[in-house]
Amino acid sequence: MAKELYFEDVAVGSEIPSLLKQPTTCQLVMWAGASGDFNPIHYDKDFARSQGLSGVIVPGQLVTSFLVQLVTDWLGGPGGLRKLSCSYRGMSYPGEAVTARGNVNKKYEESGDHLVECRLWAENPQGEKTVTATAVVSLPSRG
Amino acid sequence: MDWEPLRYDVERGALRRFARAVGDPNPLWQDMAPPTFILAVGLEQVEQRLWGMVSSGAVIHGSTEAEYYGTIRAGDTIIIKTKLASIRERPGKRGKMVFLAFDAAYENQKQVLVARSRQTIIVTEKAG
Repeated sequence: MAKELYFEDVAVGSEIPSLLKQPTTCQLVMWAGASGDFNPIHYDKDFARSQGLSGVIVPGQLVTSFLVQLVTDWLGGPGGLRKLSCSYRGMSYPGEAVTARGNVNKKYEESGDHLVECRLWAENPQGEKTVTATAVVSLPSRG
Repeated sequence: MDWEPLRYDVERGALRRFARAVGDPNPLWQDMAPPTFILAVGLEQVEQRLWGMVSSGAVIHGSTEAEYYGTIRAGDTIIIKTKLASIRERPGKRGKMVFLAFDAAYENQKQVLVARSRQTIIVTEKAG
């Protein structure tokens, strides 16, 4: 795991090291069991097709979990995710790569807390953003 | 519309299964809930009720917003209070689209508010 990140180490505009995921149908079934989300569009191909989809789709909340993993890996410690806001814009299919990416949008101090706002997104192999998000994290300061 | 509060016991095995399903080997999640864990628990409650209400059409996830005020650990008991905050209708490609916003507040066994969330679910009139 990465070393714990400090507020002073973060520059506005800098990129967060990307995270590559290759969700499989097996992972979708594991996710259904672990999350309790049994919407059949995530594991039943016939049902997904009856809904006009080309096959089962990766659950949005699993992709959100990838984006959160991107941030917690970068923080390198418990850090603190304070706020998260995401929109589900496109579909991802198992067997296709999902790349979680992000950058630093803003740094600020608020009531003694050192906060960093990040823009996050998940890309499919066509480079389309399937989930976009904003996260606010609090970081330790050396100051 | 307020729903009956849901009581959820956070078990270590459930946290590990969740982290494994995400493919996140961070040792923090051996004992601490990853941030999206509680959102999944809250959404499960919403989806279970929705399946009873939606007879045809598709259920799509629109957006997620969350604020975190504290950490959740194995052994905690979380009380989830969910309410349907708003319903909006809009014409769409698949007929009528209904946007449902569900707000949830998550309190631990010490009555400390640890998180809040808003999940937007879109129900379409017709599938495909």
